[in-house]
Amino acid sequence: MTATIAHAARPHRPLLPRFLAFELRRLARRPSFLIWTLAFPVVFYLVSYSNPTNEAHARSSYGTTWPIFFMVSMCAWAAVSAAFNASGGRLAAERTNGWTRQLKLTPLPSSAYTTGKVLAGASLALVAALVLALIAGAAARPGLSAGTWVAVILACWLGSLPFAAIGIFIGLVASSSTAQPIMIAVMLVLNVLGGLLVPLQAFPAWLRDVAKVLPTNRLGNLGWNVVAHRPFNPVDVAVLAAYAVAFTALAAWRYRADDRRPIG
Amino acid sequence: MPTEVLALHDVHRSYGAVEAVAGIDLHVAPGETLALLGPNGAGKSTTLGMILGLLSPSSGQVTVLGRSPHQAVADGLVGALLQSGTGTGLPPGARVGELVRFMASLYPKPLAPATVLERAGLTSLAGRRVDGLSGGELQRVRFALAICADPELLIFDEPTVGLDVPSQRGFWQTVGAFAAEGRAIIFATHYLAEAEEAARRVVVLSKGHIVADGPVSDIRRTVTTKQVRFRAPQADPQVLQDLPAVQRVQAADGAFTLDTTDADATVRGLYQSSIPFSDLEVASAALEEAFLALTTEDSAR
Repeated sequence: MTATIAHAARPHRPLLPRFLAFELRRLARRPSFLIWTLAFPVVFYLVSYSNPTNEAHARSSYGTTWPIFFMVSMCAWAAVSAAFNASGGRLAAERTNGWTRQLKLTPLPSSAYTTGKVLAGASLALVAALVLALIAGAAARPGLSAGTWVAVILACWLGSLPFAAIGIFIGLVASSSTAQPIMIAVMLVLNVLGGLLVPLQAFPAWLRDVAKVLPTNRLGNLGWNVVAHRPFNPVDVAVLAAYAVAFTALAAWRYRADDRRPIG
Repeated sequence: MPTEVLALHDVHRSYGAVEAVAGIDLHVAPGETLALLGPNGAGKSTTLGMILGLLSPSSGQVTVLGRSPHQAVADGLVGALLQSGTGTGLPPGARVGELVRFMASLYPKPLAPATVLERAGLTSLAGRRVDGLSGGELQRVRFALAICADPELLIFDEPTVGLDVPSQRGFWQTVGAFAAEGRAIIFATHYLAEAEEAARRVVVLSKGHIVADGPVSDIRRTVTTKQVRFRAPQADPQVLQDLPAVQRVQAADGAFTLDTTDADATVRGLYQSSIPFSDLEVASAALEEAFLALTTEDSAR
């Protein structure tokens, strides 16, 4: 019956790389929203890296200078913001317009869908962290070694995975009109309480304890330890990995759940 | 290959207290084109959602090509074009050709992307971004995505809503070519003309039940198939309603139209009632009236 139709003969390979490549091509075509993602951390860095108020905190707690400490903070901020934006905001719109449902009608498994979305979000976080490092480096001339630069960027990139996962979960749960405000609120709370804006040492003790369970603080720690030449703390990675795995799994479950839209 | 493309067995689906699908049995053979006809809220989209595995039935069983709906989708045997409301149903930023290549790459035995583009009439639009397409073009892209898998079963939910007449005609011509290759096609519509034109078999849904299932001609014959029209300025509509076999009475300026399942009995009754009348006329009801009689039956009782 269908024997006369031209089939694209193709061995069936894993679908995740195809989905990821498709997502990255689409992201690369709309670099404009990176500007919004980067605007806050860039501007904030430029106006306050030379502010001496926090110098003492940076020196006493991490043994580094404020311009370097704060550059890591803002790199992390940019990575978090890009990961959120690239994942959840777009996803809520895709879900509302019906594209997500169309994808559910293909053999693409829910695990490949969520993993692909998380990796695409993290890729954008890498770009955001790189751009911020370039601008901050040019402005503050922190005099870091090439290896330290690479390690900071890598930390921001890998550390952005849980935020991409949280963004995707929000994008799958919220409507297209509520996703953006929810994500901005979650991001601000996580970033500020995690110590990316003001060092944790300025917080009361109980808030510092809260910060320890937040992924933003663990992401910051990864980078601050690098620039302060302190030993790498495996707990930071464990906390970040736990968030990434938990929210990716939650997102995959949400993706599989019943589509409540058709009622007529 | 299974002899049945689709089997629904006593399928129910509720949303809270509302039972959207209230016990449906349905069997579809390869090569059949079937219209699911019914007003909004009849359960058409819910039924299609269960066939596609997007919704699970509250009870009952759905079998697609001998397997579960999920498995049939995972095996690339089903393609669908669903309602996307005001949205495009497509990923922002993607180009048409790129999107078709990506979708085809997900299936085990897809149609060649060039074939998909050609059959959907998109070859000249392959380089365009989906964001800037017109309504008719968007629908052709959504159709292209539905056929990428080279599916055995194609599902369309209200596929021509919002399309202009040439686009509608073009859509059904393209679909007809697919049906001719032995694929089963199920589409939901509330356009009677569309069901009559595109499908040989019509299943009428009302309040979650199947109220009729058969060729369009049968459906027309088995329900209110005749209309008796006449002028009778003094007649009491209630008396006319009580005439034999009358289903419905419509009055306008002393002219009456009676829907009847037996025109002979109704006319005989009209003579015997000694109501003065003139301009008697007996006509076949259009499917539109037949359909109304079917789907309003419950509320009239």
